[in-house]
Amino acid sequence: MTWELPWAWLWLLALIPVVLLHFLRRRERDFLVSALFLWEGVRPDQPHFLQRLRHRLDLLLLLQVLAVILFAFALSRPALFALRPSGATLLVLDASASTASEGVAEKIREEAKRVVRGSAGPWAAVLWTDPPARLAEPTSSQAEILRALDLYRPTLRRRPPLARALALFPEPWPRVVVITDNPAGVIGAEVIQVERPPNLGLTAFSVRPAPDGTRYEAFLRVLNATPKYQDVQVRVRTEAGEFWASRLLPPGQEEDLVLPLFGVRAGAFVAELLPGDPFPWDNVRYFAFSTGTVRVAFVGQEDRYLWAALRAAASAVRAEGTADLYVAVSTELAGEPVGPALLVAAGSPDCPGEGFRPAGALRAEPSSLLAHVSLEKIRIAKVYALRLPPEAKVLAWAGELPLLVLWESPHGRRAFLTAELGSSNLPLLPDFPVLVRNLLGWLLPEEPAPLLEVGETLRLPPGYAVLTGEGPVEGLWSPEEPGLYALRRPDGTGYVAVNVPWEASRPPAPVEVVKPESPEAKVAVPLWPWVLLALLPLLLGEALLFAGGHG
Amino acid sequence: MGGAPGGVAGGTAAVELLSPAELAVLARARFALRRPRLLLPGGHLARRAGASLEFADHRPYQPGDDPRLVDWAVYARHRKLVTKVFSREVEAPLYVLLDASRSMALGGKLSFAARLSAAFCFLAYRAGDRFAVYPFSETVQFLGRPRRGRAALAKTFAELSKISPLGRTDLARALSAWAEKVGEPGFCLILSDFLAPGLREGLLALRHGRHAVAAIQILAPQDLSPAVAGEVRLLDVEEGRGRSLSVGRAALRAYMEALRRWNAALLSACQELGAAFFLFPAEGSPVGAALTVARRWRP
Repeated sequence: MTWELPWAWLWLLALIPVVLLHFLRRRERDFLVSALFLWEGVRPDQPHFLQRLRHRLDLLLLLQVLAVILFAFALSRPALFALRPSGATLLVLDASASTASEGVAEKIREEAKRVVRGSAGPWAAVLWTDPPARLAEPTSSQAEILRALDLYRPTLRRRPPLARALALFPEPWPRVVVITDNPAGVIGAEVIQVERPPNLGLTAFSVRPAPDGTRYEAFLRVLNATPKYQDVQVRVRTEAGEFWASRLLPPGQEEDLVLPLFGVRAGAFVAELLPGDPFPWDNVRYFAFSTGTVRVAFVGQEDRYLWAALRAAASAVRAEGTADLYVAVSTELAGEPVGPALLVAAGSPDCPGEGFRPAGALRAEPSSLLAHVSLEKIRIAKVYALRLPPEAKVLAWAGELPLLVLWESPHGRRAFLTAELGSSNLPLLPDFPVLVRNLLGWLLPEEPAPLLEVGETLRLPPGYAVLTGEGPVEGLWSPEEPGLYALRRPDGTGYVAVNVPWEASRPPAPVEVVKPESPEAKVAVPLWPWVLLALLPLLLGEALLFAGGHG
Repeated sequence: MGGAPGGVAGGTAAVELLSPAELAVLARARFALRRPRLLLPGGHLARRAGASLEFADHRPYQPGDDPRLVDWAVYARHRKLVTKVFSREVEAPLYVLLDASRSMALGGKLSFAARLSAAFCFLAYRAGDRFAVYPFSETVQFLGRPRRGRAALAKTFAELSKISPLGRTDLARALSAWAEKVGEPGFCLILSDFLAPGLREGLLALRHGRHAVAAIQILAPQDLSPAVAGEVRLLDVEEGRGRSLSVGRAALRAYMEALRRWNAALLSACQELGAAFFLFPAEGSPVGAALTVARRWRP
């Protein structure tokens, strides 16, 4: 034990006036008797000094003496020597997405403070996330580093290799303490692993159009990283509606789900997992296709039924120049269009027409593109005869003439509907928009939009902007939260889906934590705050004793 | 009270003063205040002789005596005329004189005395006798004539439970006043700490009233051996006077000697005037004290 201010022991001299005042004060205790006359003949005792002293000693005097001694002890600033790890300590605090689980960040902060209180210093702290950041500059002040640790907050970003975080403080550190919920990838440093709560999450989510273009298929992977069976429900939301599925997941298992999504073309999808858990960020995942509006170049005869069917199947807008889709009706194209094309009673240089012919009985090959299309209801008077290449595939016939033809031409996909719409009841039937939607699904297969993780940077070309809550962002954009963000493009709008890193959902792999040995040094632990703390109840007890009449 | 022998219904005071277990103990006991050659109405004897079927004594024949009362068997043997005297069956009520002065509040003496009074009243109730309690300090409170029965017991218990210390003890004045007021001889129990002068004068007054008297002294632990040391101011709880004293072993010894002498004087006065004397500490059992008195007192 050591004293920073040993001369403060002189305060013990205050005991002299305390004891003197106590003994100088006359103290007679009242004692009730039934008959005073029995005491009248009693002569007073003459006790010797020690007896008198013993009679005058009471609890209040003892407490006063103890208070003076404790006060002098506290003023001398006593301290105890304790062995603590010596040398500078670099704290690496995991701030990646998995630490956003309920309670994990608080545990990491408390562990960091415990390390600081148990070491001699100096200290520095770095956030282990992407990108790594300095949380506290090197300091020898314990109060300063503790204040800096209070600023620690988890992010929803990926965790880079540890070396990137350590590179922020390149000077040699005798002791590096990594505090994380996942010690994988930590080599050569002391690791403190905090426990992560059980997690139930979506570890994968993707959507693709079916090959025949009639529907979407959502692919989901659900992880049950809890110690018990979980009855989970998965909901996929689109602009068209909601699709549900449920599974009973054994503990520690991961299962794949394929969910068919029927309906109109959709650009964005949200998958949700129920019930909730302490890490809610992976209970919602986002997916989007890049296709926004479909630019349609219309050639030939106008047909409002066909245009309405195109609008119903996709977000179609008319285009004069570059187009995503060429639509020709009752005409013969002068040049072969580049890109997908829907030709209705029309021909092109590669498939020239040969004029209208009377239609025969309708029949069809089995094809998913004709799903929900009833040929029995359709009445067609004339069909446009075409000279088809051998690779073309005929899906339906009107007598001996092709009615519906698909062809993968070198210039793009081609769909031929040879029926003359003006002399047919097909545009009036509900089957018509279904057929057009199926054809569009084959002609325009969607491409996935850029899928980002939180913190990942997206470089936006000129004319592109992401619409966020704070307004449109151009140039470089780095999302801070998962979600579906609208992407404004020169040719329309689309989506960008942002998710938390997939790795954050997975439980940490068991890793053998090796604690490197660090040298120890003697550190003075101040005792005076505890002494002052003990003084408070002592003074309170004295006050109560005095108020109670013992004084 | 349902389970209490004697069934003192209607008195919550009985529960406060004596527990059902204590009442059961008292109910099993017999208040055997018998005195040979005295009269026995019911269970108790009176001091007044009279005519009855129970022979009491002989006395020399005097002219005018009824010849039928001459004991001719004695005359045949001793040739002396003697007349037979028979006891007269009269009631002898139980009077409990309870000191309720301020000194009785010290050390639970008054509480003990009230419970002891209740125990005596319960014994009298069980024997079918009349009883009454008279608290006193400087004067006596006359709460009524002696009564018998359950209602009287319940009322007495209620009064005992409400009793509170007041005033200073004046034994001579209080006992004399009481003896003048109460003409019917009976058994008289005086419950007090007797730490005040005047007992002798009081006993004389009671003797004139032909009462059988027992003086029951109740002392608190701080009366018997005061736990006091050092510089103290002794305050008389009744008179308010005080005295500063340095108390040590010698002073305590002197006090206890003074108390012993005082009690010896009390005993002497009681013996001289034919009264019984009992001393009980206040921390003892009042039921045990009542049974002791009932067993040992031979008026």
